[in-house]
Amino acid sequence: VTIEPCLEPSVYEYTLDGEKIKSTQSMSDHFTKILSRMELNDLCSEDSIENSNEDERRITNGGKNAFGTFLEQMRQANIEICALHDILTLVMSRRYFNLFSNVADIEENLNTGNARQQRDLLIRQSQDIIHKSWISKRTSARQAADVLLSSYERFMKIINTTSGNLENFHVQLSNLRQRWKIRKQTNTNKYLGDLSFRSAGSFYPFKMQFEVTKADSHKRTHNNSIDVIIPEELQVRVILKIDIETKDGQILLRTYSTMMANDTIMNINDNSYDSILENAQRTVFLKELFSQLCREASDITNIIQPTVMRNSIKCWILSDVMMTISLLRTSEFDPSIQTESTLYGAHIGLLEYSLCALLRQQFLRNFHYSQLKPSTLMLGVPALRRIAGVNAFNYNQLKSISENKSILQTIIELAQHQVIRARILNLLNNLATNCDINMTVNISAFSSTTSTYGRVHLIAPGYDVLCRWSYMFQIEECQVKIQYKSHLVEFQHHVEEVQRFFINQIACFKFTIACTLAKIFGWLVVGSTMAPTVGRLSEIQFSAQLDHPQIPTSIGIRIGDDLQLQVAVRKRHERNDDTRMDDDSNERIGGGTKGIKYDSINLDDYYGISTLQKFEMFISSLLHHEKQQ
Amino acid sequence: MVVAIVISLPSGSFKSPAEAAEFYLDKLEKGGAKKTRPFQVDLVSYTPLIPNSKVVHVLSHSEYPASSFAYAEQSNCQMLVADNTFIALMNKLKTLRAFEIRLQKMEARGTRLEYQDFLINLGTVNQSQTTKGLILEVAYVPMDETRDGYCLIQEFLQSFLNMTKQTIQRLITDQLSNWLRSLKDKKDSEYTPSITLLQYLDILLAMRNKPNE
Repeated sequence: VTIEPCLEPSVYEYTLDGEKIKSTQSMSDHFTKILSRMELNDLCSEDSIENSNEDERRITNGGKNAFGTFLEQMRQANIEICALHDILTLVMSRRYFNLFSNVADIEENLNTGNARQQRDLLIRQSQDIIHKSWISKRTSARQAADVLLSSYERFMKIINTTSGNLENFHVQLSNLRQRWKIRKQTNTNKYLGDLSFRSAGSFYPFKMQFEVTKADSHKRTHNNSIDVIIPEELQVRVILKIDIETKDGQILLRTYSTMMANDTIMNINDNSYDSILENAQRTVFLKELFSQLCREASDITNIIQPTVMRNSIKCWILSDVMMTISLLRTSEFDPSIQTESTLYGAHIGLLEYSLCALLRQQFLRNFHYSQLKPSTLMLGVPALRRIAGVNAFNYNQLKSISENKSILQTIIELAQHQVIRARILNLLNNLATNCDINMTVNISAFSSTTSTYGRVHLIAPGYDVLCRWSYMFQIEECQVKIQYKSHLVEFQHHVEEVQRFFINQIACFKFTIACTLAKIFGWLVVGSTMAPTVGRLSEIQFSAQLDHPQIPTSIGIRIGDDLQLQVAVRKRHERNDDTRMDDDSNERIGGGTKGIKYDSINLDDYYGISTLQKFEMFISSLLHHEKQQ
Repeated sequence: MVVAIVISLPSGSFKSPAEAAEFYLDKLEKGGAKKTRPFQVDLVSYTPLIPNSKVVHVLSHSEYPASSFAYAEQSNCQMLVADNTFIALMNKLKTLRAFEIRLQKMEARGTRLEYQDFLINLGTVNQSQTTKGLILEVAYVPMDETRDGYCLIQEFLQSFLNMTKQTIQRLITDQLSNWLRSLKDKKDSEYTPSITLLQYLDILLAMRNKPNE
């Protein structure tokens, strides 16, 4: 029963949160309501006899005696009021505890006061609110923390019990499941995993399943309570080896790949199931790649027919070069024998990526797509085909897109080109180092893996203005095309022909530049073997006779077999004796010297760095002698 | 890309368009052109059932087998180049009753000839069993540049088929002449296959309205 104090409007009731309880009724109303509910007549219902509460019985009994009831209740209220009065006295004396006014409720009657006081008041009000709300949040948070802690303790108890290996197995199984495809086989308790590339489109028919079981007790360690069983064929490690060698046994390339990016040495001690599964999958990949290559090799439409033996594919990529691709087990493979070309770092990564990409292209072709369903049309279609329609590709362009090159064909073409390119560049290198003119070879940046473009320049050092010849060459997979001075020459298969060609070109160049130099000094080419009706360039021996109108000496120049300039002189006795073929005798048949006799000159007697300079010195010395005479 | 001119050959002096086709084919073959394979150009016009919408003409050319070309009337000479699925789409719209085919389908069928760098398509235009006329397409394959290509093709026509320059200028379609005129201001006059198809469209539409021969 609440009582009604005199200062009823200024007494508020607060909850623990600091919120005001607002009641719609004033306390006196409330009191009146309760009072009216009390029955002040003598009648009492028989149902209320079972009241166990003594107070209630007293009240209902006191219904007979209304005033007694009322007195009882007043006495209760009096007790409470006395208690409140005692507390308030204590508070007023300020010796035992203090009460602070509720800052939030100070009314702003201080409007007339200065702004600073008002602001201070507002600050104190907000701080007070914050403080109160923080206290309530802390209490509720503590309750939540208690709940969580108790549940955590319950779980830890479960986890740490000694009968927990079953749970450990499931934990590790779920870990494994994040990296590998594992499914539970229905109807049994087996967990089977899949190592194949079927989801990428591979149709390799062999089953590549592994099983995950609980470990036997002797294998159980702290970390592993799980055991992975992989099929026997995948337990071996395989290596893909590629050899390229010539008929004579010269090794051009020897390389191998295990699809391991970092090193090729297998760490046998590494027993974690992740590495076991990874190795098994590498084996799967290499086996699948090799079987794809074998299948392509048996295709009879190949131009070059490879032979497939037990575990290797051999094919003659050029007429004297054979390439072997073989799949070996690690037991058959000895890395110490293969000393050639170990690839490191980026190259190995590139090789493996290319192999993966090639195989994946093959997988994409396995997808069947129907023209009738536009939604599936784009599956497995090359990118160019997708934009072909929108860009109005014509028939030829479309045909060039849909030509499919098999993996083996790609590899063969690459190998062919590599071998030819290496040989030709080697040849050009040799020529350039051994001849005494400047031969520059430039490879174009537009070269690709199957065709190389480049230029060769011939310049005589010091005499650049006289003569400068360029050749453009294009190395394809099987042939070399050379373009010079509006001629186009093609060479197929034989690198020696290219060598002969360039040797002849160098000889011609030297000859031409010597003639040009002589012409500058006034010499005329009276006759030479460079007549335009002569047959192929390779058959010509470059030689010429030079005459000067004021000098009675004829010079004969010739490019010898060693590509060196040979000079000889002949004194002319008369003005026009060039028509005479023989010097001493007119006999042409039988023994005796035929032709005109020349005295050879040793160019080393003259000063000069290069032969051409010495020749120039020689010519000018002749002129000088003549002038002196 | 190619540069092509499409003209409709006058066949008035012959008994029938088929004979005219034979005559021209003969002439071209004697000149040295070689037959390669048949060619076909189709035109289907879709009229929309919604009023005040434009008619859509869909063309396909056997030289560009992966593409279909579409043109909406009164648009500013823009042709849509799309994949073959566009034709399937239009058919679907037809079954959904958004479009219907009221006008008859026009076809140009004939042979494709090759002469060095030139591509010649000679064919007869049919509209559901009735022959409407002859059509000739000459394309110069290696280049893109319209003005030079046009001049070259003109010379080819003059020498091969004995056409005078005035005849050619009379026979080329409005589309092409508009395009050529618009090139005066542009620096690069790159020719696209859609211009070829625009010329075809012009000719086929004109033939459709012409009475039968």
